[in-house]
Amino acid sequence: MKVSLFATCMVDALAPEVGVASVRLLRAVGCHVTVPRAQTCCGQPAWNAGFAAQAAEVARASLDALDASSADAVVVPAGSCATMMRTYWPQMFEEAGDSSAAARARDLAARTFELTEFLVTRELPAFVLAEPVKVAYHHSCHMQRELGVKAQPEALLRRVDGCDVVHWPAAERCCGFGGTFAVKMPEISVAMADDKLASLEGIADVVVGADGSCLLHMRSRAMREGRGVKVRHIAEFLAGALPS
Amino acid sequence: MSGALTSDKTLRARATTAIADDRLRVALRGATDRFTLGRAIGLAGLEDAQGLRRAARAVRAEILANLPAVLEQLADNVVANGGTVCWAATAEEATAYVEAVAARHDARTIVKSKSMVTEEIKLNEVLESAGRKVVETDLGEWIIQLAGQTPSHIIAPALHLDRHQVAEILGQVADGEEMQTDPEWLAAFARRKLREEFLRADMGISGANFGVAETGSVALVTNEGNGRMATSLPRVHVAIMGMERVVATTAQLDLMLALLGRSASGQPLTSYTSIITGPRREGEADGPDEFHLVILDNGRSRILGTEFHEILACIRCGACLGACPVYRQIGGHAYGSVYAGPVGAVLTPLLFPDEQTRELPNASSLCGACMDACPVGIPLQDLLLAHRRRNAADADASTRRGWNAWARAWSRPALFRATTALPTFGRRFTKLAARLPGVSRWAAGREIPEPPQRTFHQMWERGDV
Amino acid sequence: MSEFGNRAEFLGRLRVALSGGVPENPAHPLPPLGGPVPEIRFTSLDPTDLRAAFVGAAQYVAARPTRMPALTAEFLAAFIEEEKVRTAVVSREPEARAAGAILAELGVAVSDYSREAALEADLGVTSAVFGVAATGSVVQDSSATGGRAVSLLPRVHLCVLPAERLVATPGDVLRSLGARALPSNLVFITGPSRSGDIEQIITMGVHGPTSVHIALIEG
Repeated sequence: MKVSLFATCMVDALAPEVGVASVRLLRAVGCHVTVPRAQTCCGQPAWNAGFAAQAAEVARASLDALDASSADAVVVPAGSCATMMRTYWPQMFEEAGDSSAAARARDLAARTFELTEFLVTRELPAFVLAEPVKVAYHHSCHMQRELGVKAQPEALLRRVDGCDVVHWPAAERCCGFGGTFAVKMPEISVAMADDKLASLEGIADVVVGADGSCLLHMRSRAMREGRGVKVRHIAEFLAGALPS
Repeated sequence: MSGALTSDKTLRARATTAIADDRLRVALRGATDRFTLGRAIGLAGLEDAQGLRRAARAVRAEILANLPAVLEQLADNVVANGGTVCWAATAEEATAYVEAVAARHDARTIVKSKSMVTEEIKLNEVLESAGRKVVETDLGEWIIQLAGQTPSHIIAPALHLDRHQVAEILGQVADGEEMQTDPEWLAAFARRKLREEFLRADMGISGANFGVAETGSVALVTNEGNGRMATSLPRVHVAIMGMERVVATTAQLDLMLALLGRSASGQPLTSYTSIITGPRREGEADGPDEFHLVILDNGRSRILGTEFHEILACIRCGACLGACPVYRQIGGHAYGSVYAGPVGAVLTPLLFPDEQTRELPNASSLCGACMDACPVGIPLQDLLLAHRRRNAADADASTRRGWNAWARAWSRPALFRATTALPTFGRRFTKLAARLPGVSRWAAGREIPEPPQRTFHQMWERGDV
Repeated sequence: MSEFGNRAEFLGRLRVALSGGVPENPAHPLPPLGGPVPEIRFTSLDPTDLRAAFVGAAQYVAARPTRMPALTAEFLAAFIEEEKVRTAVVSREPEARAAGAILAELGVAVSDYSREAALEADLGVTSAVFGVAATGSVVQDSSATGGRAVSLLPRVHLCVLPAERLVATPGDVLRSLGARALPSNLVFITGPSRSGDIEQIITMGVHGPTSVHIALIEG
């Protein structure tokens, strides 16, 4: 199966290890992975800020790059970017007056998947941790609500030998990143992160999620506040449990 | 007060004040946790609750699409049942009408059952300036009336106050009686004091949870009994209703009632669900001699038929406030308007457009929890985005330049890869977006992690993956 | 005059606003309109035993239901002892009147409903036109009771409800009434008056009755 990886700007710039881990995982489930060189960003930051034309200008480049690669599936290691591409690209391109891009986006949406959503459709290898660990899974907003991808990441974590997925009442609550929200309303954004992190005290060693922006937000706040909890992308977490 | 909001401070300043209030945040966390849990339990009592929500969205859309005919039927039936209808295009027309009714009856004391629309049109001020005493009788509303404040939540107006503050506030009417702080004692105090007002009131004013066109009725959903008292004991009852708060049939009312209480706080039905159809009839020992229904536009017709149309489906249950992680941190007062939370962030800039209210859609991380919680499926997230697009259309030049520069760079793959590869890009990431207002604030409160050595694309090109 | 303001202008504005249709929402499109309102079913309601369902639902909302073949002096004697009832008002309904007669024999000062009497009364006695099994509600009709505040002003409310008036859901009540015009006041009473407005702590009897008893008559 031929898969194109849409790395996302966040992974490319700030968390390339997530991209590396994603490729490892995709290969481990028998996929041939390409990374179309001309991809950029999905345009979400501008879209959320209300700048549809600018978002479309950027997204078009990624759409063109992904269209050109003749992959069976496009896999995205970020729930919010996958949502942007599947749920919002058609509307965004229409807003920007580009109906033909909107139509191409609708076609692409049919074969675009978030990483964990894709992985559970494949035959999975064994995942074994060297040491047991308590994990709290953070359900990022768009992934759970727009893509409806909730069970899949938790199912993957439960397959990991040594991984204890704990019950976390605050798991589904927004971490407060929200893109430009973190910039425009930093006090609220930080208060929301603190609320989530405080609720983790003593119940988990690691918080795992599928959206790099949420994780960056929580990690940087946790570090600032001296909280011991580790923050990991699910791709890294799972790849770390693959046989070496 | 220069604008429509209750404070001249910016949204960010109001939010920061709220976040610094530890007691408020404890109260907010407790209340929103309780409402969220209640909602989950309440909806679990319905078979196919999600199907009912979808049906409710369709029902409200249908009603709005047929609003003129539905309102005509409602008005005709109210009149046929012996009531009086006032078509109030503006807040001024509505308040003038109610004052005229009060004047005709020489109403010295007026009791009010909780009604957000009456706060929207500032009805109390108009009646009070005519020398009438207006008493809020919903316990939470009475407390904040005496405190001179505005409500901080649709169904829990005094959420932000603790028992000691309540005792102090109610002490204003204690007449020398020593106040205690036990909530049961305070509630009994309220019962005693407000009963005096119910009994001497010349007029009762309520809102309307739903107008029912088919029968010419108004449905009132309450828990305390003050709604029943205010609409049964005085000689005159005036109900004020936002024009969109109607259903065509009792079958539609049934659906709304099944979802309203459960979504708000988990109650299958509130203690009192009243359906009021005209004034008292022959042989009834109580009930008002006159029933008036004021149908209010006040800017709602400007929303009808636009991309914001669906916000008119709102049944004011408060579920979106309970679900909102931003509301959870900042509470209702930070929104500065009678309508707070996600619904307030959408509705307030539409009803009261100005430089201040236009900020309100920024009080959201676009998490979508509000959409999930809304019993009538209003796509609140999309409406917030629509507001942002409207705001972007006349954003200041520097913001626009920032996004244009970003788009120019990141629509070109080579430029994109170059920017993400800048050696200290990780630290300068915020600088790239520095054209956005106040980005340097983002860095405060955060530990910025060490930037990576190579970008993912660089690693891929090198064959390191 | 029964109408004020300008109906034509008011509605004209709405018609203009709606004349271009409503924009579509491509991200979350509307479901199809125009279908019938779906039936509302309750997960914990056993339609084959409405009485048991009613009792359970009423208890859940802190009403005090008791099943009995008929209203007896024994029941009422214990009731007035528990609730410390010395004075009562009764509605016009035959079941309430009959309860009033027994109460009078037990030494309670019973009056027909009037506002003055209700203000002095510890207890208000009514029947109900319906009981709703799904919610534990009793439905008061002002034309039957003759006075809305019988079940509102006194601190205790006793509702004498013949079990054959039980229906399953609120929708059943509305459908039953559908054929005839509604009374001036119809109220679904679901437990005592309550408020959570002080620190979110629930207190009963803020304005309405502090306790609601339902005598479910099955004989």
